[in-house]
Amino acid sequence: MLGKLMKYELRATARYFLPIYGAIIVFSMLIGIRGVNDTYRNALSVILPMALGLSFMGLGVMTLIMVVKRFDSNLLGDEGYLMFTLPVKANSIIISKLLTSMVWILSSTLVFFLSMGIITWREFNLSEILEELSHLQLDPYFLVVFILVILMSIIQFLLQVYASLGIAQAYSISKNRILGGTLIFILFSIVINMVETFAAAGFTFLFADSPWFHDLVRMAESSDFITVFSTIQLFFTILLGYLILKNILFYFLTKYHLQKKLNLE
Amino acid sequence: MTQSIIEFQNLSKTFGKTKAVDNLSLSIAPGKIIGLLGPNGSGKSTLFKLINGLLEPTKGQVLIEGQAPSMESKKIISYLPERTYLNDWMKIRDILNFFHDFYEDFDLVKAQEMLRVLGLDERHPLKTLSKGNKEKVQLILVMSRKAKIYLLDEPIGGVDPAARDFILETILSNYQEDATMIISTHLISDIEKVFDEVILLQNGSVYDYDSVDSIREKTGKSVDELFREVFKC
Repeated sequence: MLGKLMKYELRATARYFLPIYGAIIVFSMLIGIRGVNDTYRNALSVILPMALGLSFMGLGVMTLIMVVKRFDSNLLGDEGYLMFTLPVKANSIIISKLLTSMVWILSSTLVFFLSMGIITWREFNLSEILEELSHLQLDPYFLVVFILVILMSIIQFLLQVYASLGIAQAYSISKNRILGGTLIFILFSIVINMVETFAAAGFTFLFADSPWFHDLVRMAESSDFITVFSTIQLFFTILLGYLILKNILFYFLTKYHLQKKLNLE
Repeated sequence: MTQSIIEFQNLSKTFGKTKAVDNLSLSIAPGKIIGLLGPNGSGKSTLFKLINGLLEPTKGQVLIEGQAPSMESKKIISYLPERTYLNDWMKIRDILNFFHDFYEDFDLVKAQEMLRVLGLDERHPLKTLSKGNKEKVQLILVMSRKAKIYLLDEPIGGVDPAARDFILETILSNYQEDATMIISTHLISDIEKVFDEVILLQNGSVYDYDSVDSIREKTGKSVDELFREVFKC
């Protein structure tokens, strides 16, 4: 059922994303092949990058609007009467929204790199860059953790939006659900920030005298690359665990408020 | 006695201080067309939402075939809410396929046939349908399922008398003998003749639950007359 939900979710959103992707690729190609004809070079060298910049801005704004609107109007508005009476699990509904948003965010990133590649293809030799990259000996463990941290950070943003909207509708924070959701989102951000600050301060206070902590500081300040690197690696692993914990919390907050506290108008 | 298809046990739902449903207990036997009648705010829509699992009871429980609302109950309930739930990006054809994808009991051919009778083109976008046509499309979707339970919330509320006849006819011609149907309405006289039983709701509790024949015998009045008398403003 998750597949079917995603099929419709992708179709509902594709009609917004694909045209912008198309525009970005076309503008990038026009910039990339520019310079062939000098006679209109000056006017276009202003207009085209501007058009491209605006397209990217539009893409960013639209992604944010889509994340909020698809959750708000499709689940918490009148369409919710259809969605929540389908014989599907609440889990499938939340995950279909989450994965679809991820698909668009990742493909937007891909389109960004593609656009940069098209614009600079004259200046850079892609095969040379790839050749260079292959010489970089990155620790595979670190690479996996690093990618997971990025993915989990995106998921955290999405789930925080979902949980905020879910809570705003459950307790009728405001007549306008998106306004209420924004308030809850800001409140969440403040609370998380405070907890993190206190945790960091408490951690330093508790362990400041322990030999283990001194070792850690010494490692981070070491001039030896391998030692510094392993400290960074440790830091990213802890960060990943923390992000996963936050995501589990936001996921269940979302699920609870959609299942037990749903209150469609 | 046959096992009840829907059962309410000491069911209550409060919103803040308002009691929308107040300690309601009722057992509904299968295979009947039941009118859920009551003035505005008597709890009709809340009761439907509770049966569909769109709301959690504050106290007590709803049982559908002996189970709390779940994915299994959603498979056998075909629900027409008061609100229009059609989105603004699909064509009529897309929403038919959507129902076909998610409900195993959806009869695509039957739905297409009903649309043809109404003269509605499947290529028409949902967004630009008139309010009346949106309601008809929703009713067609709901009645094209071969469900065990149909819950229709004010199916004839917002449409003109001609459309009302079409809707009643659609409901009756697609109703299967063994199914249970609950129709909420305040336009009783138009629809009274189709009910086997009626539930009279007042302030979230059952004022009366009886067969239409027995009400006529008991009170010497039609359901419409009784309703006007009981709920006189």
